[in-house]
Amino acid sequence: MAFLELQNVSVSFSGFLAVDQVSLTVDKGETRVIIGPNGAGKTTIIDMITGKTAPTSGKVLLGGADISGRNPHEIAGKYKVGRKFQGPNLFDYLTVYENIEVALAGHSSILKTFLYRKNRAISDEIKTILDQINLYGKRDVVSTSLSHGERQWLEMGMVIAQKPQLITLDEPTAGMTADETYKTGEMIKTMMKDKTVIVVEHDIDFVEQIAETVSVLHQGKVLAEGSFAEVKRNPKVVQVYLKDDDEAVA
Amino acid sequence: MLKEVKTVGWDKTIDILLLLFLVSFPLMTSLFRVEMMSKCIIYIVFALSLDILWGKAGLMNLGQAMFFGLGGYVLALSYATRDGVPAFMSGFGVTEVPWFMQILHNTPVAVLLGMLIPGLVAGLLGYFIFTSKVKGVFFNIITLSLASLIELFFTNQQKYTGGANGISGLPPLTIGEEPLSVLEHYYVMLAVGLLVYLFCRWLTNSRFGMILRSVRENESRLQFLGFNPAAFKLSIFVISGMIAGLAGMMYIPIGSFVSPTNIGVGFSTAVLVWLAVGGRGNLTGAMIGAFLVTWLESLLSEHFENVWLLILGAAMLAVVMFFPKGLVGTLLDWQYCRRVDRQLGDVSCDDGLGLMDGELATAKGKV
Repeated sequence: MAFLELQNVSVSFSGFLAVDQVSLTVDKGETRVIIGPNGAGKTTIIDMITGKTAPTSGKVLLGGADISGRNPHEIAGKYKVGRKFQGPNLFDYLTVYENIEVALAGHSSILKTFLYRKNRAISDEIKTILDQINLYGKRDVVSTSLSHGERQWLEMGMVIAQKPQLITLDEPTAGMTADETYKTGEMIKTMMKDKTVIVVEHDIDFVEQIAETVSVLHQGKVLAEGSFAEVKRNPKVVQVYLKDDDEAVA
Repeated sequence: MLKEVKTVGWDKTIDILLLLFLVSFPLMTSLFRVEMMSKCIIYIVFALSLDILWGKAGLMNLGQAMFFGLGGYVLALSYATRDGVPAFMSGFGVTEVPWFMQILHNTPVAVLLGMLIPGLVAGLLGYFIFTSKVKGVFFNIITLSLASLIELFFTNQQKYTGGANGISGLPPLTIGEEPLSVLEHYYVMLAVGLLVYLFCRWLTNSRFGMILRSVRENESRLQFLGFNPAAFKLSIFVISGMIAGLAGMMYIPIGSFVSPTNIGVGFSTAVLVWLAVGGRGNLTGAMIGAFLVTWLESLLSEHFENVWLLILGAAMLAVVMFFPKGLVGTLLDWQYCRRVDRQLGDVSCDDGLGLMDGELATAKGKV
């Protein structure tokens, strides 16, 4: 049963077709990786799922409900979709602890922010998350003084704190060292085990580490879909990536 | 445990010292000074109203005085029209107090409206500003022009507001039969000020306060966590407007008059300066800034009749140049850096990660 379904969605930015008639279904509990050359429309697809961009045509269905064109805060709050941005997107001068605390699910209406009391259960929950992302020792530090990799992890922790049904990760390993990238992959596998996860990624080793299914996007269209091994063998995919390299050389 | 690591910041200590000073102040000095200090307390309340808006939520309102003035005018009109048509109205041929002023004759109603009307105005403005996603410098420009607009409006409506002269000769507070003495006034103001302070502390320490700081830091990120930033901005705008209105009302029995200078651009700028001097985002800075600047203003104008403005200006420039985050803000940053250094040797405060030149603890609000 498809949990997330993109039905023939297209997005055009003043005439430029960023996403062209894409249909995509993701099952509940699946980890799906979307790869593709620069400008293939990967981030735009995440934007549509999280409400940042409305599809020009087509529909986005989540658990059967049409969420296309709804507000980001509604999609995040009501439909429980979490998003990790490309390049860490944090609350800079809040502490690590506060960043997680802000993200905690279920306390986001104005009334609830007044009724909120930090009890034992909540501090335990925050501690668990901070332990998972290896940042408990730095909880009182403002997030700007973390390293780039730590900032990426902090944002992953925020997404977990949101308790989403669907997690979207936009290049979670961008700018990380090989070691950090590997750790991140393990984090995704353990922390997001039973969640539906969509990952946009470039790093092929990392894709191999986490992917269950891979969709390849090229010029706004789905080029291929399947397991990592299948996609890797697909001649069309090889051609696209090779051609890209040629252009890069030229 | 987290509780053990969090030491009490110096801001709380300064707050307590300030309170002790204000409580014992009348024992040390003349009634003239006590009356001066009463005004200072009102300015402190006014500064707090802007700090929860600008310091916490990052909404720099360049027209904060419009709420102060609205509160002031409501209470002033309530007093002025109680014994029939006042002189500034009858001069324009008004023979009867208009209905909307008659309802102000009941003091509790007037006091309530003195907060509700600024709150309502803030709500209306905020609704249009925040739902249309006006941000940053455009918000500043809109608020600035609104302040000058409302100043012009109150100057021109001479028939009802006394025009540029304002409304004068307003009575002191009366509880029971006798009007309050200067000393009693002082302590009433201090009590109200303390309540407002406690409210602001509670508000900013609550989760609501934390979300406000998140709005200031990264409003768009907040949406993807399920928050509606516009609703939070609107709420704090209304709360801030109501507190400013309260401060405006407190001013009436002490100042005994209100005029367009209390509602316009000049006074709005003054409160910005207080926050710049003291530091924003931690309530202490706003209070210290308001206290120091207004007190210095009075003292300097007494002793240096001709050049006091020059001296004051130079002092402010010095603060802004050497302590860009304000006096209290700089102190808190320094304290935060020392604590971080102590806790984790590897994160030094001047390791080029932008801790020193960033906004840091001032922006963080609590250390």
